[in-house]
Amino acid sequence: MAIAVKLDFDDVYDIKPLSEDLRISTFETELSDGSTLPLLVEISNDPHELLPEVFNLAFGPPTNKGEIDDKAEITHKNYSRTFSSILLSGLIYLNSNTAHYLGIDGSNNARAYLYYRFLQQNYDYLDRYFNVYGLKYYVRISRFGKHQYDNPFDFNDIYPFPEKIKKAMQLNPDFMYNYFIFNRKHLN
Amino acid sequence: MYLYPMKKTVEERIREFTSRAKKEGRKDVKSSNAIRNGSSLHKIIKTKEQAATFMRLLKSL
Repeated sequence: MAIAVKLDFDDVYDIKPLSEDLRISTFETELSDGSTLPLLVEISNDPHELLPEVFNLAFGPPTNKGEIDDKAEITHKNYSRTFSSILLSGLIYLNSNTAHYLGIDGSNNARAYLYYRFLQQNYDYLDRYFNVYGLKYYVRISRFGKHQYDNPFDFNDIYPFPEKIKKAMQLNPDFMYNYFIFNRKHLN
Repeated sequence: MYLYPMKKTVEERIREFTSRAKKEGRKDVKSSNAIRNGSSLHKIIKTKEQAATFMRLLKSL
């Protein structure tokens, strides 16, 4: 099913703050069957010791333990409002943490492709607020074996390569970005 | 005289939420393990050199 999303920060659910530092918030999303489901949006508060400016963002319904189930398959009634609410939560955080970057994995390739389509469908709107980057991970080719590709990869030696996502970029859906990063656009 | 309420700007919405979070949000809430160390990027960055190269590239874009 092709889902078209029109992001609009003026059309969002009632987002409630759960932490004073703007990292955790929640809202009730409407499902296609008419019921509602709480969604959590959470930004890590514990920076990676080597990447102190990049924070992971996750969203999804809470599990019984109160953690985010980011693999849940949900049929939203209004995808535009749901994703506008999630991204507004990220924008609120970045507005007070202007040196930070937020990262989103996407739990599988299909979901990453869905996010990429949402980004492209709303490129001009998002470009007012965010810089958006896609990361590809490159693995070192080792020198074992008689030939270059006999035993080629050293998976302990991986480099993430970021590129700015541009409008109408065509990507093979089977080889989607490994990770997406946002930061707040500074208007100087 | 009745005045229609003006539509809030995104900036006003952000300011309101930020102020509400200061009043209503909990302090010192720890992230769950899953989100803290769960991203693919955080798993593959293992050395200072990798991290420095990555951040230099990212900030140059």
